[in-house]
Amino acid sequence: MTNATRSRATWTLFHAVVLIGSVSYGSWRYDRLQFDRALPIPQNEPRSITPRHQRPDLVSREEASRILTRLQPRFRGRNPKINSVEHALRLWGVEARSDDETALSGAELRELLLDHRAFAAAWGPKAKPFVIPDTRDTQRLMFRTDAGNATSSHVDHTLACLGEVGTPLDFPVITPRGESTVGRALAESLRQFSLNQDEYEWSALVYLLYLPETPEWTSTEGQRITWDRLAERLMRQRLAQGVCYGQHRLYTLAALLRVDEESPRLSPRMRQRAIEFLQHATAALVKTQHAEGWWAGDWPGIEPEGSSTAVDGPFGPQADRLLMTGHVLEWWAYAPEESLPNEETLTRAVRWLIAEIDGLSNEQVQRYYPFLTHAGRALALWHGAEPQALIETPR
Amino acid sequence: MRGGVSAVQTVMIAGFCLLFLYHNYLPLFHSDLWGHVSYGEWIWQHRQLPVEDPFTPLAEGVPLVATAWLSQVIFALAAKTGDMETIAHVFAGTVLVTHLLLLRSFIKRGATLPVAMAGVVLAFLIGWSRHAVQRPEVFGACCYAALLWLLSDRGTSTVRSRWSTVAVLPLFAAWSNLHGSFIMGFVVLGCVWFGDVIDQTLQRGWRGLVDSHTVLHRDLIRLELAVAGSLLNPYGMDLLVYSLAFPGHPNLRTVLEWFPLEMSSLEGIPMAASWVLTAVVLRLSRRRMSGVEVLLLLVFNSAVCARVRMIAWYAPVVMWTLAPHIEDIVQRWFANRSDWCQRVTSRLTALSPRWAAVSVLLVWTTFALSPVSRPILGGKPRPPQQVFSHDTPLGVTTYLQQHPPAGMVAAPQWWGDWLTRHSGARWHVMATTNAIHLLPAQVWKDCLAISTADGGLERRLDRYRINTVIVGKVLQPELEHAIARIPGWRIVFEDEVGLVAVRHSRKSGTPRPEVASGAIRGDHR
Repeated sequence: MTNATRSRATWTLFHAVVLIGSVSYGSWRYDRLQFDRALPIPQNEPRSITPRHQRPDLVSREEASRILTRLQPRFRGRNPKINSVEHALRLWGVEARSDDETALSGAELRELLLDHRAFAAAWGPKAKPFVIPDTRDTQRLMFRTDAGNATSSHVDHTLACLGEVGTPLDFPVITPRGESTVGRALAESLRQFSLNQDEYEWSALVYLLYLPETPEWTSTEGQRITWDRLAERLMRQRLAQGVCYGQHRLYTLAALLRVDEESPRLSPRMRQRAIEFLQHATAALVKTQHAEGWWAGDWPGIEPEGSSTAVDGPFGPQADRLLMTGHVLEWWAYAPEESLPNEETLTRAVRWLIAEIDGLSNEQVQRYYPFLTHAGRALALWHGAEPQALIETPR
Repeated sequence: MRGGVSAVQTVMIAGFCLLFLYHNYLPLFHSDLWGHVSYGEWIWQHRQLPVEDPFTPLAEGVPLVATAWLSQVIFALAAKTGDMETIAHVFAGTVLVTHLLLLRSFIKRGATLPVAMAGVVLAFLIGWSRHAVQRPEVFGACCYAALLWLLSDRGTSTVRSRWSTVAVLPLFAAWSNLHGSFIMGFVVLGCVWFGDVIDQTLQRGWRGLVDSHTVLHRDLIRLELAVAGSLLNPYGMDLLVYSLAFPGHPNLRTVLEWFPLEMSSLEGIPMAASWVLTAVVLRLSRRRMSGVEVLLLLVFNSAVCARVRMIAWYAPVVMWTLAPHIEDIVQRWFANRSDWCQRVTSRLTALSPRWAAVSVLLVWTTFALSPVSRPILGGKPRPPQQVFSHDTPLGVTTYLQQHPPAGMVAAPQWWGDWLTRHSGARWHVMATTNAIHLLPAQVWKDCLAISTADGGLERRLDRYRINTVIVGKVLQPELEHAIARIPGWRIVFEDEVGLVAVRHSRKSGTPRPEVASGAIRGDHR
């Protein structure tokens, strides 16, 4: 081998090493950067979020039982509204059973949501499936949303309800294309989540339930999602904006503060801000409570931007009042002590709610069912017992 | 004659004087420039690079790679003088150096001064749409011209060739810190290497690759030095990875300069003209086209077709490629002409002290007439209306300084940078030009929808709790029309450039009758 040939070989080797080294290092760095954006790993069993306050003196067992008996899920038969099914599941839990033959058990409620065969039997073969395996990727799973009675009404509402009743992520989901798991629906929710999406209340709640130990993660938009940022998003808009006149934002925020007490995830500054925000909401509620004890959509009163822009709901003022008052009492059950109202406000709200539901016809109960489940749950929470336990006959 | 200047050289000097004068007088643009100044000031003040956008709250949590941090610091230091026109001086000076480097590279490629001058003018005209804005890209363009200049040494004496090879390292080290366009340098160097491979293979078969080892080896060394140089930045390899992935960012699909080429546009017409020029020149030239030239034309034409902003990098390279061919045509044309032509040519190229005096006068006049002389020669500063581009929201800014907005502000993103800087980052604008690629896709989508008053305007304003809307009248007629009609909003300021609308703030409302009175539990403590 001549010197020239040897030199060429050496240089060729040098270039090859440099090229391979650079490309390998670049690829590795690219992989690392992509890895940083991987979806977080959730825990299989959702966290249980317990209420902070119980006041059996405020709501008697007899009162709570009477109200809850009226809210049994009498959906056996054709075309049960998915929104009502979800609300019923959330109220009664999966262990619920009833002597009423027209009422569905907790397990049946969940089956309607997660087993396409049960859904198709109830809604008929022509209805579009509620569980949607993504046609591009069978690993993906979604719940059909905001497209009629056979669909969920809000983004991630189904997942939140499932999480609140303790559904594990490996729980099977029967889709028209085969078996999947709840975990895939959560992964899809995380993939699609944007901090600035229209409805985020339940998404935040779902993550609180299934990602309690994850300090932060990166959304597919490339934004780091922290609990501080989620809390800030929950507080960003005007008080009455959001689903149910903003009450679900307050509920999720109260739940976040509750979980934060047990395993801190909020910065002290953000925790303080969140408490002040709830105090501010309560102050507005105290100020605008009707003498009878109810609230309506204009509950925030005057804000820096002016009066509330909330419009009346489609079911009329009575439904709005039931919706508002039931939701308010529900999140107050989780709220920090310092953001609770005075005794008088609380009592007046509870009294009005019980009397108003007592006065409803059965037809009205069916119409207002989703709103009323919040009221029923709130009364059960304040009494200090599970709804199911309140209607069971003591043996 | 020694120490003289020819008539042709005087014309060249006059051309460059005009170029400088024009760019020095160009008003400071109202868009991303101010974001770059703000970034530079932030970096200078904190002595570190930002990890997130410090000025756009909605981009919080999105990691920032400051691809132009050095340019931003240069702009900030220019602004730090207190005289905003210093930015214009830096800009004009950089553009001048860029075009001088291009001229020099065309000459080194074998063009005579007149042909090289024509090449510079044509490169300027083809890339016209990218010249008017002061932004870090001008430093990138300067580095690009320097690279073409270094590459023009290929095939000359070994010492110069080695020097130009080694010089690639510091060039890319500077370039990668000045602007993300250093990737275009890799493209050029890749074309040079692969073009040489093609040439050698065509001329001598596969054996040629071995025989021409030195040429290909030098090309590769140059490319490796370029990569090594570009790694000398605060992010290391991540900057390369980021810069390569950047054009794929989903938000850029809605930004005009990242659109594919449209023929009936500011870029389409010069592109069409450059294609006609290329066709004519290649038809008439008898000089052989090298593989490098073919590749450069193919790659950069394709790049412009895919992303129109690539015209800034296409323009110099197309003239760099065509310059020797044009020279060939001109030489042959003159060779067939009479003695009269020869005499005229020799007179135009003859050195003369008179032309030298004219040249000095030209340079002095340019200096004296341009704003750059004011700090030395004195004179009144130009009014803001002349220093800043016509569409700069001066009136809106003054109003907002007197009535600071609370909460999020929806403003055209091209004004976002200006508004942020002129509020000391106290006004929270929804988007800035510099943060387009940092905003989550949903935010950017909503920004665009608000900007054009698409359906659901009120819902979007509510979602971000926007209480102040700023409208640019020229480009946002739909929003101007819509905001005047939304209940609960009123226009509080308006001039010919823009308007400011705010939500009504009612101090007292109509309390509901029969409200209960009480207090929250915290009040008792």
